[in-house]
Amino acid sequence: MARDLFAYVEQIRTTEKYFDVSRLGILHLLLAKKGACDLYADHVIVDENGNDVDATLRLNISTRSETPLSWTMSLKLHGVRIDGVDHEGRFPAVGGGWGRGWHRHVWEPADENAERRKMPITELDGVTSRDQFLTRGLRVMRIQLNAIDHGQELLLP
Amino acid sequence: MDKNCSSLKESLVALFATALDVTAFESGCIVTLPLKTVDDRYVDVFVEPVADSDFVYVHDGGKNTAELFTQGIHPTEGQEALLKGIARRYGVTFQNGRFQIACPNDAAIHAAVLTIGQCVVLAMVDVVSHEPKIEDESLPARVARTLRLWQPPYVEIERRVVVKGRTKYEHVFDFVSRSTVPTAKTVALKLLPPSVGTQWQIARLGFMGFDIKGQPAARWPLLTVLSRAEEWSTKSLEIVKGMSTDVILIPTDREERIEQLLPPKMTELTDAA
Repeated sequence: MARDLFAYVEQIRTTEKYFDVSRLGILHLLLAKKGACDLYADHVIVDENGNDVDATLRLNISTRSETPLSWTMSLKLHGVRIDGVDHEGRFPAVGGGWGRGWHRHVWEPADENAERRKMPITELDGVTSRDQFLTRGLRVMRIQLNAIDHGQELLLP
Repeated sequence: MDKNCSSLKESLVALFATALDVTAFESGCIVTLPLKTVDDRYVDVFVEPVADSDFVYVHDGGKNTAELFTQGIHPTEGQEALLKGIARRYGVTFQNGRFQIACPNDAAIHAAVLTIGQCVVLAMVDVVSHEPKIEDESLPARVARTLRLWQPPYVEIERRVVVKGRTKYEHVFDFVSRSTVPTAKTVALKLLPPSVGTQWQIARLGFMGFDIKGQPAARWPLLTVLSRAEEWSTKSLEIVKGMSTDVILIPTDREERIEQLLPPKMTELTDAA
């Protein structure tokens, strides 16, 4: 029943995705697991026949370094980055010219990945805390979290 | 030929100078080298003075282990050994996921920038062999399909049923098999993956039970499906069993077992009226 869902990446990128974990819960995981977290969510997409198809999405966040410019987050499908935000000193920007700093990865259907195409963004400029990185980065990628947080951050995983 | 070599050198120096960037960040400089990793990134090297010291750290900010992780190449002991091996060969330290050198003077800093750059380029080699993994059908998709096949005429299957608790928080049942006749019971299904921590999942399940107390949903038999069963400790399993009417355990890579285990459990719970 394995099915390649790369044809639906644009639909995934442009719709709201939901991960059943709270913001504080992720911050707790980042502190407990060497600055990295690895989360899964099932996201329902609609195929060309109008049928629901389940896609397993993976959200990876790395904030191991104390340097915010090294922090990165990505959304993966089939183990491949389909969306993400991070920082580079210089990169060729989508649409021509050079970009500097924070950017969002753009899906390239021909390559079936979002590694090379990058679009500068301003939402993460001046980020200094993991909380800011999480809040702003997830908003860029249209990822929603569970609003309920009843002390999970106090629990060890 | 000497003249040609000289002009070649001059033009290369000009090219490298144009392609080299040095930008400031709050605690130092980022040097962007005219070198690319195999994933098509220019190499960034951080030059950061050590507080209350004459030393300067030259490092990659842990950016490259973070990049491997976000591109789907997750840390393994073998990968860590490779990165440490690269560092050792170049006289660099690999610590907390970053390549670094402590430099006492400018000459050492200049050399270290290039050395860290070389380490970074080599560190990304795993990207070359990384291939997409088209997973088998996900567990929720299997459960949905299995429930559709099992569904007797007197129940309706609903997905992601939200129940508001006393505290106004919303709780989600992954599936509810809603009975349309008085002789059968409505059954709720909750899928619990351990990915965010088993204690966490237990706390949330417990909170849901407390929060929906007194509502019709609290009286539905609760069937809990635990995936990656081997990651749940005996104690955690006992707690989940205590909070559920019944439990199905699905070990890693055995998701197909749900197709055999779910229908009889559903029949048993639905017809237990």
